[in-house]
Amino acid sequence: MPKDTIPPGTLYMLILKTLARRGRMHGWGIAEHIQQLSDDVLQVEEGSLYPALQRMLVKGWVTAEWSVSENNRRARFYSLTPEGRRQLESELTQYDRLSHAIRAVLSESY
Amino acid sequence: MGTLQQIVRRLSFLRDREEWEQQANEEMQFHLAMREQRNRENGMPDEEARNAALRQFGNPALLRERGRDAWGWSVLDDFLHDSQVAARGLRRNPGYTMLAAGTLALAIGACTAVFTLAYALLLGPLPYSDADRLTLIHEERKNAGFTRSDTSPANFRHLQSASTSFRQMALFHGNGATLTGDGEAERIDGANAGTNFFDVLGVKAARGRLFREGDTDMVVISHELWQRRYGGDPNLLGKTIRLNEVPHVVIGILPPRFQFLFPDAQFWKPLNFSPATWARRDLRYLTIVARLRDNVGTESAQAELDSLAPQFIQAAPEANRNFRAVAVPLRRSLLGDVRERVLLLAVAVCLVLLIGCANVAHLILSRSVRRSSEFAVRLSLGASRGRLVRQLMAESLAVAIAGGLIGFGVAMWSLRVLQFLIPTQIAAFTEVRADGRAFAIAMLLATVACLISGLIPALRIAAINWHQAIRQGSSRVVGGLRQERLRGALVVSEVALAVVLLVGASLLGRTLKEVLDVNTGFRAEGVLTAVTIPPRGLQTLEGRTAFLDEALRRVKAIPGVANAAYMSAAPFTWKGGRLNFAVEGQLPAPDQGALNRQVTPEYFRTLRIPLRAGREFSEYDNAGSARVAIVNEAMERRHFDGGSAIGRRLRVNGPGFDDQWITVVGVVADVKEMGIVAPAQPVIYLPPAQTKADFNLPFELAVRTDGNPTLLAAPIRQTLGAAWPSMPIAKMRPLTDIVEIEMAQRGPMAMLASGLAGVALVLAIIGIYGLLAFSVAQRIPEIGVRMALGAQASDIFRGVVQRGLILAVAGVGAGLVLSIQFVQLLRGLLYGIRPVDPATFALAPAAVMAIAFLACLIPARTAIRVEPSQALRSE
Repeated sequence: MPKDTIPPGTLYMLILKTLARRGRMHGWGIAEHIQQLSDDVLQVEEGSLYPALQRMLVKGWVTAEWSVSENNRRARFYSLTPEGRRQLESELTQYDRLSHAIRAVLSESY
Repeated sequence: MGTLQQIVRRLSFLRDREEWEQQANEEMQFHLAMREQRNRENGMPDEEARNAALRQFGNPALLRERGRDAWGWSVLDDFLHDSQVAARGLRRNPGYTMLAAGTLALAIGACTAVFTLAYALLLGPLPYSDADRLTLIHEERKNAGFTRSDTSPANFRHLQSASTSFRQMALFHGNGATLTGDGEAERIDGANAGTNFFDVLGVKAARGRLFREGDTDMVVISHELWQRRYGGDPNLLGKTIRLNEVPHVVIGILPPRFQFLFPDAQFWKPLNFSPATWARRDLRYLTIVARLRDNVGTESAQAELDSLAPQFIQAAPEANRNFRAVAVPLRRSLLGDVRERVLLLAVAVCLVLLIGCANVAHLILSRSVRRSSEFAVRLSLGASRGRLVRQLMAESLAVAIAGGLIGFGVAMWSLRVLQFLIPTQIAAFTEVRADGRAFAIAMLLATVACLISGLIPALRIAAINWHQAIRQGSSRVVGGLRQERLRGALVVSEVALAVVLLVGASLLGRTLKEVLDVNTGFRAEGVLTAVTIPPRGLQTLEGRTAFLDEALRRVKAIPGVANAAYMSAAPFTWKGGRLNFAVEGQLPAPDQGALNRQVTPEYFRTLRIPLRAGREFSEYDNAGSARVAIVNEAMERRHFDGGSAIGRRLRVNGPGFDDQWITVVGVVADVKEMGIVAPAQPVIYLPPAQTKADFNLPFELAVRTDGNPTLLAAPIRQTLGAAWPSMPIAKMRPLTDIVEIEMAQRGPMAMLASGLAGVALVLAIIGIYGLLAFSVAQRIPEIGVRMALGAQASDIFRGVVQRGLILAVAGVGAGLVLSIQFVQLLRGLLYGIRPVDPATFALAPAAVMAIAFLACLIPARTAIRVEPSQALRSE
């Protein structure tokens, strides 16, 4: 399966959803999760992931703390904030509406 | 709410910077380790697992930077970082830094000083309300050899009623008086003005009141006189002071530092004309100050005055023959010549600033070239060009700010030097200091300099094609033909500007020399002058004659005195005193006037004014003998039909003169009464013993000695003081001082111009030297090759010098063309020399070429010292 680049706006949404589903995760874990669930289609590049996480920290959608990972290494874990949850809701709603509309246009049959 | 929290979060980032960096690093490491582990799990050998992980990861530094950018402080960060790097770079190259900053400091300092001065003079506030609406109105009389002239009472009234361009107008004229009572008698300057004078100006009294209709024997005094003589006595209002023995009631005190035209006016009296005087068209000694109506400009006012002229001529065909009234904006009148001079200076310092910027631009360019490989590498690693430009600009900015600060100091010093340019007519209320505005100007100039000198090199550098650069090696990166041409163009323009300034300075210097050489008509060296104020009770012919005789007798008795005489005014000190006259046998001409001077017998000898024909006055020319006069050559030439004036008779018309005919007994050489460069005017000299006019005139004493005239000061005071103990003796100074004041600003102007030209030359030479030295350094490998292939040292030497001279010639050529335009601006300031003077236009470029040649020599020597083997190895 060829890899597709994730459009920048959707990356936030994917990360937020991952954290909503799985609670605390470190960066590597988030990337892995997205890749696995999408069957390797969506590969999150480090170059996009970490800057995005920083931006989400600035906006207050996530918080971060240092802890020990499953293989005993120190790693930074991110969790969703209430505001992040709200943001996720609004992004999901918007995405639904958009994809619905696109699908409506594309599946118009004569 | 959200944004506030965001701001708080972003601020906390600043606080926890270091920690953030550490953590970001650690996070990267963790991610790397996880990927490495994954690769190993997928079966890659250890080494490859690690490398693959690293490759996949990308540039950690770049990643961290993008992450950091999210917090929004990047711009600030970059700026601080750039400043630090810039400061370090400058510290490591002190020579370059000092040269660049010093160059800018000089240029910025000169510009700041001149701009501050120009602002104060051309735009500074005047102590009158809405001063831009005020104009002076003169009559313009082209006969008698000069243009501005005074108006008469009747003409004023006529103008007041006929003209519609002006809201209000008032008469005034300068005056003087002897102030007595409450202290020593002293001679003070003042003025008489119409009752609405202060209304026209919009000035209010600081204390008391100003003129009112019907005021007689009242006076308004200056703040300075009030403080100085009356100790600021609050009860002075209503008291009487005696001017020329006439009591005047002090009705008001003017605000401090008030001045209108006259530099030393201490009192203002209301004009009081009799009806007969108001009817006089021919009594000309008054000036008009007028306030324009709101929507009227000077041009339309002048047009109206021109259209009214026929009316005036018709109303008084003889008195108003060739009548023309001229309206001049007040500020222009006050500034006079100085306006042109200051503007010229502004142009000149702008040129110097441009040269300075060109030099600094070249310095920056040369320095950047050496770092070009560094830039190429950084560009290849992904640095943005914008970032690179910003970094280079940071350095220019640092240099420019340093230059600006030091330049402000230079400006402070320069302003002190430039004080001489402030005209006396506005000196009382004009202060030119290096204040906040000057500082702002300096910083603004520094920014402009930074942009001009830094932007072009920065953009050039940032446009490097780094693919090529890395392949070709550093020395070729920023050295292409376009670069060479740019640098050459910079140097050519510097040389051109230097030539322009040098030509200007030379012309001013020559003018100075010409002016110094002018024959003033008298010899000032060795003469001491003093103004004596005759004591009371001498308002008669006999009284005054007796006083003058006795005073001269006493002075001549002082050992060392060769000659002594009294004169009504020393040359240059009184440009008025013109009276109407008629020559016997000629038609009377009401508008012909000659300067009128009263002089005692030894006058011409004392001032060494040559006698051309006839004789000087003698003690026998007194009240009882025939009336005699002496005229100067200009008078004889113009008014005596080409023949000799000796034996001819004339009559003088004016207050105090009767209708008697006066015989001309002598003709003397012309004295330049109106100023050094103005043509000589006709003068009629009369003996005071025979002249009943003007008993209040303070006569001026002139004493000639063979030695130093200032040594006579004490003996003169002593001998005159013995006879008249309370008589004030004022303005005791050598005649040479008076001449120097008349030379006014020519000396300092010429020196200023020379200074600027010198600075420009130095900068241009540094520019040429810098360019050649740099290009030689760049070409060392090439020179090495040529020498190895058999080129002679002389060939190399000639090559370098040739390059330099070509640039110099181009610069000189451009400079000459520019000069021809520039010197037209100097027209008003030159004397005795044409603007496009062949000698100056030949010598100045020659001088610049010679110095340019010298600048080429050192780089040329460096070139021939190159060791071929060493040069090739360094490639």
